[in-house]
Amino acid sequence: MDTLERLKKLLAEVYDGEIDISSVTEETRVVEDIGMKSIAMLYMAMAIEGEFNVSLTNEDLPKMQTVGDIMKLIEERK
Amino acid sequence: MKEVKKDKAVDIKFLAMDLPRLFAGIIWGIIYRPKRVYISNRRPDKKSGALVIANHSSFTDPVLLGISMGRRLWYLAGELAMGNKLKSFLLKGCGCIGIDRNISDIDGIRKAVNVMKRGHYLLMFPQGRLERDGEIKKLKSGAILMAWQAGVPILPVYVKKGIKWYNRAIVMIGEEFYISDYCDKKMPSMADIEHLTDIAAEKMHECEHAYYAYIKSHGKKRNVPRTD
Repeated sequence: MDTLERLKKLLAEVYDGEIDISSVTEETRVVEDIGMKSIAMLYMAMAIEGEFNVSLTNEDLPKMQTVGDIMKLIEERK
Repeated sequence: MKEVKKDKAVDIKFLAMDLPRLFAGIIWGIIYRPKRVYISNRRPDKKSGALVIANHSSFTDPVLLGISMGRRLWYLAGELAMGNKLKSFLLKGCGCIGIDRNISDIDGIRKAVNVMKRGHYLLMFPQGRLERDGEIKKLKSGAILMAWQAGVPILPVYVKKGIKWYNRAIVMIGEEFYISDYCDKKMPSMADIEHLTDIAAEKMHECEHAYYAYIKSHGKKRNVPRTD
């Protein structure tokens, strides 16, 4: 499974049917399109660390503007 | 989760934390004479880590809890409470972990989670602010996230100083519970986290009700705030 699919799976678990996962692309904005709040962002970051075995820092979180940004960050950290 | 030996009163490894606790224990012990009361016979496991959640109605709460829980406590503190560099240095020495609430502070959360994973108690005030009336209001969801990440139980506590200076402070200790007791998913959804936050608030309310029942049953009506 590629990074995008794994991220979509994580989003599906975090939002549990609240958002349409099939419409999520690399261009999807996490705050504006998904409606991710700060606590959800934190949860997502924790989930990404567990799923991809990477370590994120406070400086990384503001960079996570779109799903594509998250994918780029994961690739950099691997 | 790592299981540790029962905490010693003073441990050379944690001297910076234990000495202030010892001094505070003597002073606060004389002034407030805190009494620890368990609301049930199911006592918390003294050898495993846990997230202690408590109401916050006074600046003395962290010290009262620190000397009353029977375990060494780490504290989660907002960056504002950490103050200037000297204060921050001293508080960190005493076991405070600073969290910047203006950002999603994943570095601070990680430190806190690691403390619990190592088998220690971490105290946080999930209301996120001082509530002078002692009322338990809406909790922040961060507590649930941290307990989930660390895989430790949540221990609800209600702390209250007496109304008069000569009344004893009471620390009501509730029953610890795991996230998995209420949610069997490997990864709870945001809706589950909101629900679990409400359950944590209910557990704190149980401790609060147990406190008033205890005060009434022990005939110390002066300790009960006037409602008229």
